[in-house]
Amino acid sequence: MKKYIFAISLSIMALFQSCKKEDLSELGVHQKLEISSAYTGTDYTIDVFYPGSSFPDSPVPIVYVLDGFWYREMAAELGKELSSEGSIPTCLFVSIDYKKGDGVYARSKDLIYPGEGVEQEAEAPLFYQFLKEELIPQVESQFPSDTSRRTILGHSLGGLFVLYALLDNAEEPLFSKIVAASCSIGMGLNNYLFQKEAELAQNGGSLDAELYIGCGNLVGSAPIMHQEFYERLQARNYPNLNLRFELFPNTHGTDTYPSYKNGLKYVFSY
Amino acid sequence: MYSAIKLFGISALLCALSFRSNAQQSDSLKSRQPVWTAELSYNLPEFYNHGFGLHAGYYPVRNSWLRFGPGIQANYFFTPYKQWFISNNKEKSLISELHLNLLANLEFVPFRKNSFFIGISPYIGYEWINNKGRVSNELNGFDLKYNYNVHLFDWGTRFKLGGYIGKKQKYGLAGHFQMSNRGIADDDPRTGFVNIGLSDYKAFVGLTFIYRIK
Repeated sequence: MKKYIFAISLSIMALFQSCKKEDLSELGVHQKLEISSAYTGTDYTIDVFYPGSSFPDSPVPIVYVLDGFWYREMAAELGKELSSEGSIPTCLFVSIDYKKGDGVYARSKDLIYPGEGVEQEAEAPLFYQFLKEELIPQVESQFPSDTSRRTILGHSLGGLFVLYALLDNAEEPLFSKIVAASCSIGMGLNNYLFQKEAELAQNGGSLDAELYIGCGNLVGSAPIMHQEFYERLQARNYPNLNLRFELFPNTHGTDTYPSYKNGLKYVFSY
Repeated sequence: MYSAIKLFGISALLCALSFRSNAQQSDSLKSRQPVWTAELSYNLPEFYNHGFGLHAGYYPVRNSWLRFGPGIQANYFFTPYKQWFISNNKEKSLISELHLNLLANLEFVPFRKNSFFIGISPYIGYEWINNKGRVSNELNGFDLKYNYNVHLFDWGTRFKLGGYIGKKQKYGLAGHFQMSNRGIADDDPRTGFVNIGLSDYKAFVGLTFIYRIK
């Protein structure tokens, strides 16, 4: 009997030994910053990662990663992999996390814009001000940055945020390269992303960005709605908008990786 | 993939050890072991996604401690439409999944009685997922139909705790936990050995009713 127990224990140990997530410091250099926002009233922990042996001394593009508590390692690994194969320039990755460790809950207040039919706390305009007035100035004063290639990655509510922020600040966009993955595209009583885009077009507005939209095709109606949104953007012929859309054979939980990977390649191809 | 190979290897080693050491076990104990089984399962990956499974097992290798043999399994899951946000969208959707698996069933009978057994079954299989529906919104001016199909090769492990009941031990009940382990071999750093709530890396618990054919 003992040998069975030993063998079963060995089997279980062998199965559980696999761990894919690598620590940021194993992939490059890593520094933590702490910022308290006067706009959102939230304390943030910011992970700054560079896939090299030391932080850069000449300007590099900075990629801001929403929901850093979920995606900082993924973004860092992609940054290292894609820059080493020459698909993107070597970038600094800035992942946004919450100091209290409650990002899973706190994120929705920061990433949802208020609108008709939105019942939860929605303070995305304040979060946008935090990015614009507090986080970006601090990061870009500490690290040499190529501000013309400032990039943001967002998934789910993060994807909703990056798209809405682009439409809401079309005259003076904060980010020139945007990767929106599996966005919460149905937010608002009548899908406020669609309404916002229609308003922009009616007012003769323009969009100036490299925009990548990705979604898994196992996410209910989200993939077809993403496609519809993409086709509307395409049909407007915004002269300064470079746009790409892709579907992946994934669910909402697994479409981040291919979207971020292909998205980074696409936005840095300009 | 490396871990799956290890799992198969260790299972085979266990079998070999067991049969060498138990060759002298009595025929009467051996004869109590089921040879052919049919199983019906209720499976629950998440609260709004559930399904049913059928499994047929054959145990050509048996002794008083253990039985081993191949199995085939078909699982069906469905996820009805769920509204995530307050919306004026008119929407219908259904995500259906069919999983067809080949298993290597290894069941330990630690007390030499079929009233309790522990099973581990590595599997390989095929997974088909269909996402079909329609969404419309008058104000936005769209009425969209969709039908997406995904075909996947899958592999993983099924763990089972159960026992046969009654004097003849014709019927049995088991609880199981089955999971795709494909996540440990792909590129995505967020998928791993167990992935809860992902239909493309399915993990679920369930209850199984076992009928002993022979």
